Parts: sequence; structure tokens; C-alpha cells
Amino acid sequence: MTTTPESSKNESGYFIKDSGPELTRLLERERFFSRILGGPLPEHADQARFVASFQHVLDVACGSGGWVLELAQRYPHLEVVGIDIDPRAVRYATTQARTGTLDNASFRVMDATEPLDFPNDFFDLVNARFLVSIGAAAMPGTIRELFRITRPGGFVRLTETEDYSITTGPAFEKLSAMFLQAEKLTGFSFSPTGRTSGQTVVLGRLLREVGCQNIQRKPTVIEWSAGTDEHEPMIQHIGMWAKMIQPFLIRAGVTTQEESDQLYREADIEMLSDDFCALMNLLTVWGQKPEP
Amino acid sequence: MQKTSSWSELLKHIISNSAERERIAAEIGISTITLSRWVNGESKPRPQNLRQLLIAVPKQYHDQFQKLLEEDLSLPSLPPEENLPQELPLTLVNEVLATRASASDQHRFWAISRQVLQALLRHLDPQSLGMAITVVRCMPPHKYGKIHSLRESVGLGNAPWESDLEAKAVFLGAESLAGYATSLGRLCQIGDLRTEPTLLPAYQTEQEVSAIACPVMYASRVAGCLLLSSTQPDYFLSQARQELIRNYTNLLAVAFEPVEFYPLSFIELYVLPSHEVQRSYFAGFRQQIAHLMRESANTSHPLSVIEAEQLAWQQVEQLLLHLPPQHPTNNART
Repeated sequence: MTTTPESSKNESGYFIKDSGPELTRLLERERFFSRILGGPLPEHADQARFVASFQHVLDVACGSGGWVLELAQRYPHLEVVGIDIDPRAVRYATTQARTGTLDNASFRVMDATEPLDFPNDFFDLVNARFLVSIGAAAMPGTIRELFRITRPGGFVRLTETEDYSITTGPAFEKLSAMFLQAEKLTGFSFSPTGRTSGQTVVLGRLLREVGCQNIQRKPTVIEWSAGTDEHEPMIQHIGMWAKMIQPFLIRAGVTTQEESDQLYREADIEMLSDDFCALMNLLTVWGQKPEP
Repeated sequence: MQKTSSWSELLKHIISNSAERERIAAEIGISTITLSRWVNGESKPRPQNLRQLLIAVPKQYHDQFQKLLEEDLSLPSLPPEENLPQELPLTLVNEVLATRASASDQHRFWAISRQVLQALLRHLDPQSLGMAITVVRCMPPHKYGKIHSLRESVGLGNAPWESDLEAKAVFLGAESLAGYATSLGRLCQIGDLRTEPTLLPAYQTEQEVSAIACPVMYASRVAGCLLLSSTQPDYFLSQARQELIRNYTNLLAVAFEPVEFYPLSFIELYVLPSHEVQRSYFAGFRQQIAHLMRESANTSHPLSVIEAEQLAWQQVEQLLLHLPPQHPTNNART
């Protein structure tokens, strides 16, 4: 659930209300990640070999569909499906697939916190990234459901970030801390204190609890300090995302309009400075459903 | 040329080189085992694989391979090359209008221009053969309201270009295809920059073979143009593709404010220095934006990033417009 539901039980809680720019940003983010990480499944040295025997792949909370489109375009033998709670996201993704004449990518509106409309033991690979917005309480049930629809021998793959980015910018760090606190206050965090999101630390347990085996993990670090090639694109992505979550921070009561306006201005200047340093940390954890 | 009587025999010859075998399998997205099965007649490629196979084989075999594929009547017929849907997707139009209705001033241009470019890039280059698309905007007017240069802004590409082209943006002027199309308010294209003698101003950037520039218009006024480059010759020659590009460009116009459109008589472009010269003036550009923002922080109107960036661009433009002229062959680009 990476996008704003048009009408759903989660509407009041989600971080971003202005979904047009957010859908655009998500698609750009996927293009960027795919380029710098080397593809949609960067934890595998030979991605083509990993998916060679697969037929059905699902991406949960697919947003504007960037990961699905990338996988479907690279591997035409796959049938790749994306689901998202937001009908606007699904329309956006479908438009991209149709204009690109990708007939092996499709998208459906579905709530990841409810039973999913797919048969048991169906997908070779079920992927979910940045599931944070479904809320910590819903997460175990959702992972159980993802396990149900994965075929024996198939994979469930999860990717999350713990702190979005660590930087040397005082205002940026203050905004990050506010966001993590807001997540904690609104039930989106696994952290006992709100110091981090607590997401990555529970991924292994969540997979073990539903019965996955051969659980493996791969951390990814993206440096976007001043002077790196990633600096400019990440300023665009993180900067834009940060501004779009401003209403969420205010709703959660962790800041005021005036205070956050001032912090955003300072953070903009920090990110442009010569000595700005930043790392984004991601963790991917994947496990296999046992064969009978 | 290799003498062969069937496509599978020719393919067998091509993939006898193991590096080629790996490359072709990877480009099509199949295993090398599947490739060997096609060669041995154990299975047949699907229609979409045929087109991919034709693209993946080395260029010197392309025509021979296509002929042999067409002679094999047991295969499904080769899908036509121009099988792109020719209409602007209605869902895209709806999304752009919805974004215009709801997005803040700060995000509107960013979001709409990327929405249009994301769809157009997939539409025109579904096989990722190589394309770059850039929105080129008029710089704000100088004295007497005249526009002397254009600036590349949002840009997306497929390899060999970068996926995001904005960091490499430069100023364009009378020496460029973009400048020419904007000055005339008319779509202009060049089929093959490598060989084609043309009266149009243009300069071939690395990997670029064909190019087109389509002006962004509103009420007969112009805000800049949409510039497309392809690695393929004559890629923008067909009327259908030109019509499609015109339609996408008209949709892109929604991203601009009415005040950003200027009468054609206001466009008086200068010849701009080469990229290399320009880039030497971009060093420290980000710090200049930060400086302008810091300076304005305690005034009654603190500058936003967008405002500070525009001001910094105008400062660089001033410097570039007043440099001594260079040799024209070093100046131009599409």
C-alpha cells in the first residue's frame, strides 16, 4: 500500500494525500533503483536464471507498478501481476503497461490486509516492498496470506527500510525523527520507542512464523552524498517525498505548519551543500515455502 | 555473409560463440537452453520472441535473418514493426487532469511533465531500443520581453542514455533543432544525423541517430518544445508517430502556466556555447542555489528551491550569452 486509497478504511492514516505526484514519483523511484541496483531482483547474481523456471509473479502494494513493469519487460515469459488498494494507482500502472504494449503485466485493485483473491499455492514469487503503510498490527496476517498463495518451492520476498536515510543535515534529521515518531503514534511502526521504524528487524521472524524456510537476507546501501551520481536524483525523490508527508506530520501532532516549513527550508539548503552526506539503507529478506 | 538455408541454421552459427549466446538469451529474457531448443527444432519461438530475436541478432545478420524467418511458414508471422497503439491513452489524459486539479504549485510541473514523459517513452520505445525525451523550456525574457535561450529541464531516457537526464541539462539556442522548432512554432525532424545533409541546425550527440522537436503551444504562443532522440534511423519519420508526438506534446502543455507561453515574435535566440564550455559554468551551481536561499532566508520572501534554482539559471544564462562567439561547429546540438 504505497499510495493513497481513494476510499478505504486506511484513508485517514496514510502518509500522503496528493496521490498524482506520488504515483509519478514512485515510478521514477523504481527506474532509479533498478538502474543503480542492477535490476528488480538485485540480490541474485543471475536474475534471469533465478526466474527462468517461474511463470507467475505477484507484487503486493505495487503503487504505480514500476517493479512489475520492469520485471515483465525484462522477462517476457513471466506473467506478472501487481495489486494495490488505490484504484488510481492501478489505473496509472495499467496505462503504463498498455502504452508499452506489455501484455504480460496486469494490475488489480486489492487490499493487502484482507484475504487475497488468488488460489492457494499459485505464485512462484510473491514480492512486497515498503509494506509499512498497512500498519504493524496487520503485517503478520498479510504475510500469512502471501505465504498461502505462494506455491511449494516458491519464494516470498520482503524489502523495507529502517530509517529512510541517515544524513549529516540537522534539519533533515529532525524531520526524520518526527516522521518515525509520527509512525509510532499512528500504529505504523514496530519500534518500541519510535527511534527507527522497526520494520527490517522483524522481517525474518515474520517469514519464519508463517513457515518459510531457507530464509536469506541482503542489505543494500545507497550513498547519496553531495558529489555522488545519486545525489541529484535522490534530492528529487527524498525531497519530494518529505514535502508530501508534511500534512501527515501535522495530523500526527509531532510538528506545526510553521515549524515544519522552517525545517523544510533548512533541509533543502543542507541537501545542496558541498559537505552533505547521506546513506539510504534497505534490507531484503526472502524465504521459501517448503515442498510437501 | 554466412550461407545458410534456414533461420535456425543461421542462429546456430551466431550462437556458436558462447558470449553471443549469453548476450542474445539475456536480451530476449530466456535461458540459453531455450535458445538451443529453438536451434535444434525442439521448440519454436512465440511471436513476441521473433521480434526480440530479430532485434538481438548482430546487425550484419539482421536482413538475412528476417528473410529466413519470413520464409519459414511453420512459424507464426512476424508481428509488424509499427504495432504501437496510435491514440493517446484516455486514462493518461484523465490522470494528468486529475494531477493538475490537485497537485500543489510546487509539484505540478514536476509531476505532469514526468507523467507524460513516462508514458511517451514506453509508447514510442517499448523494446528499449534507445531513446531520450527532454522538455525544453524558454528562459524568462530579457529586456523588451525577448527570449534569448532555452533550457533543458525534465528528461527521461532508455539506455544508452541515462534514465534521468535532468542532471545533464544544458542551454540551447539558435544552433539547435529545439531552438529552430521553438522559433518557428513547428515540428521539425531529422532522419539520420550521421549521413543526412540537412539545412536544419543540428549536431549529433553520442549515440543519437534521429531526432525530432515539437513545440509546446497554447493560444498560438510557445513555451519551449519536446525534444526526442533515438538510436534508430528515421525513427520519427512516419506520420503516425509525428501525430502521436504532437498529441503528447499538447498534453504536456497542461504542465505549464499560461504566463510561460510567449508570442513567436518574442523568440530571438542567440547561439549558445558548446556543452563543454557551458558545463564549466555549472560548477558550483548547487551551492549557488543554497547561497541564494540562505541570503533570502531572513527577508519577507524567502526563496523556495524552485525560485532559487530559476534565479541561478538566469545568472548563468547571462554569463553565457555574453561570451565571445565560438566556431559554430562546436556549438550545435539537437
